[in-house]
Amino acid sequence: MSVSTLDTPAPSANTRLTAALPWVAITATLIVLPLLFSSNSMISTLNYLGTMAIFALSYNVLLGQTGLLSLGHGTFFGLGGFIATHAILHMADAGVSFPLPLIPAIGGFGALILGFFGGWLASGRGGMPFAMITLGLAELVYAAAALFPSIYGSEEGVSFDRMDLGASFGMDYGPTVDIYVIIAVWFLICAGVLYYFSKTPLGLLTNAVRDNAERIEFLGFSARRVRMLAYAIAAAVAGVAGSLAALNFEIMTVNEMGATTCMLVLLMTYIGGTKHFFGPVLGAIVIGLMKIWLSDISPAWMMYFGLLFIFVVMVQPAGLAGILMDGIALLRSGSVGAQAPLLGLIGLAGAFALTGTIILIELAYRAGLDATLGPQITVLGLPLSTASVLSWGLGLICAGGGVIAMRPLFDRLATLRHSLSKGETA
Amino acid sequence: MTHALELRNLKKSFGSVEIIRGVNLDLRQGERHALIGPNGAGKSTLFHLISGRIAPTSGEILFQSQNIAGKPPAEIVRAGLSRSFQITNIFPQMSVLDNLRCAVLWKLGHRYSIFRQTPTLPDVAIECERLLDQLGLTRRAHDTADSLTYPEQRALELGLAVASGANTLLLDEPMAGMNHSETEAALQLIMKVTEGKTLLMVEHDMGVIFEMADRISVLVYGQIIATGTPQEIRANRAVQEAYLGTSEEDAA
Repeated sequence: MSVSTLDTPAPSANTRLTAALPWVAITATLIVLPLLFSSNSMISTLNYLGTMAIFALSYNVLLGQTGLLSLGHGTFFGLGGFIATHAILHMADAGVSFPLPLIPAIGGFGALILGFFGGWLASGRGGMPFAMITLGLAELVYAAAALFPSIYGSEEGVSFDRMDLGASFGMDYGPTVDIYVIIAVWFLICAGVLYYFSKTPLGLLTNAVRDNAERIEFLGFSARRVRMLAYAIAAAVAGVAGSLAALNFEIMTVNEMGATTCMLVLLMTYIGGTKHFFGPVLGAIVIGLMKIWLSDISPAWMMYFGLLFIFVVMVQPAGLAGILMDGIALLRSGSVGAQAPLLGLIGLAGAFALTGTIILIELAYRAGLDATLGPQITVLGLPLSTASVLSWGLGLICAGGGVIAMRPLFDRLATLRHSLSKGETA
Repeated sequence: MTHALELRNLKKSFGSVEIIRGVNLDLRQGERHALIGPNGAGKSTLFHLISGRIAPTSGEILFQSQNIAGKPPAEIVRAGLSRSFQITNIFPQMSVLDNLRCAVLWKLGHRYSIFRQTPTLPDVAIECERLLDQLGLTRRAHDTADSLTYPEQRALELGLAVASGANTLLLDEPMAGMNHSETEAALQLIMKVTEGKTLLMVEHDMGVIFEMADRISVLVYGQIIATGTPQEIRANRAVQEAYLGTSEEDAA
């Protein structure tokens, strides 16, 4: 039997083109973004999202690819940042000229070495022991940081001036957009390297360890070695992300490698979707924007954050990327027209449920935490009051009605899809 | 006569309970050797000892004159001794092709490489193509392993053991859970893919054993009570008493 469908050593120009397409699109997006959002604060937001996207991609090497739940990945983000910070400070002191855009390579390399060591300690087994050891290591490093104020700074951290290394590549690194260029290029490098890595023999073995770590031993490989290498590679890229964060903010604090950072990267990666290569990028963007924008307009932003996490875990374990893929599959199925009325109703019910939930949460926060601000509050343009039964009733009816209407609608959708798929085969 | 595998006074205790009680067994180069015995005799434990899944309490396992007792599984596979599992033990979320790629990476010398993309390695592609064809899984190459039918999963399980390039194979009940026609097909497949290799196989189906085995060993309560050709085993009174008499009735 012919197996011409298998991957052949020389892929045709056509398949190469389709494989390159997403990368071209990403590069184009990275070029267009600063032109569309040119204000300083917007560029600063983009810079933050870029570093988080790299960080989340590195975490998915462990979570999605190797099936390892690390609770201490923030450590390498922080350590990479501190290595970069001290590299800049020392080189500026010594008067050495070194191009600033290459500083993340130093942070990444340092994190790689530390990652090998950490991986050697943590990777004896997967699952719970791995998670616990990484948590322990992270706490250890965080606690030890307090003992070395000359390295990690005290409360206020270690700050530097990124212009101290001088100009290079035609940029003096004063304006935020110069840092955007550095972050965008490093994003392309890191995403490219990690994508390539996922296709190499070691990348394949990381998947095998995720699926069945024992069997890989009976094929001649050491699962421990695979875990350790994956851990070191993830650490290196996290170190690059931490270095970029340092360049962006010109300061590094111990908090950057604390438990909050470790949790944040886990949530971003999981919510984005661990099963698709670019899922974590999506998660980093959504969570990053929520953190920046939502925290400005609502005191309850952490609450929404948690609700989103629960929603994703319950509805689609493949994350936002999974929901997106489902949507694309639906559009391609050709039966959107038949499903549209029902989907519209489900969307409407969902919007009602969401509106009601937001009203209730905002009212509850105003009645509790922010009671000193008075009972009057405007939610989504609606003038409400914590003292009014009507306001609470509106929230309850919207939320309750939306949720109650959802179930029969989904049942109908399932029936419709069933009959549609039957019609296809007939 | 050189022995492919030789067990010398092999023992294994769990706590105070001795499960393997001094097993002596030799496998001749190129023979198909069946291991039979009642449930709980220690057949699977013996396989775990030989393949390195668990370490023996005492005794020697000589593979090509080297003692491999207590070595980790990966080292034993690299030396040329691989195994399949009674309970299907594959990589469920990966494609059939990727399952086989993992199994051939070590013998082709790519190991933990990060410098080439696996799909662009010509030797891996050729070897996997050959294996898929042999196993009859070519059409399923890009399906995930957990979407395969049970006999297909068993074929892949066997394929992983064969793909590692070992010259000696331990097969733990490769036909477990199959119906009559599936068993027949699986037998043909095993004969095909293990040609020229040394085989030690645990099996319960007496029809299969008498059809394919050059020699049979009978394990009862952690000891080998007889080894011989199928005719000798059939005629052995101790075996009949301990095991075969009832089993043959069951099989009939």
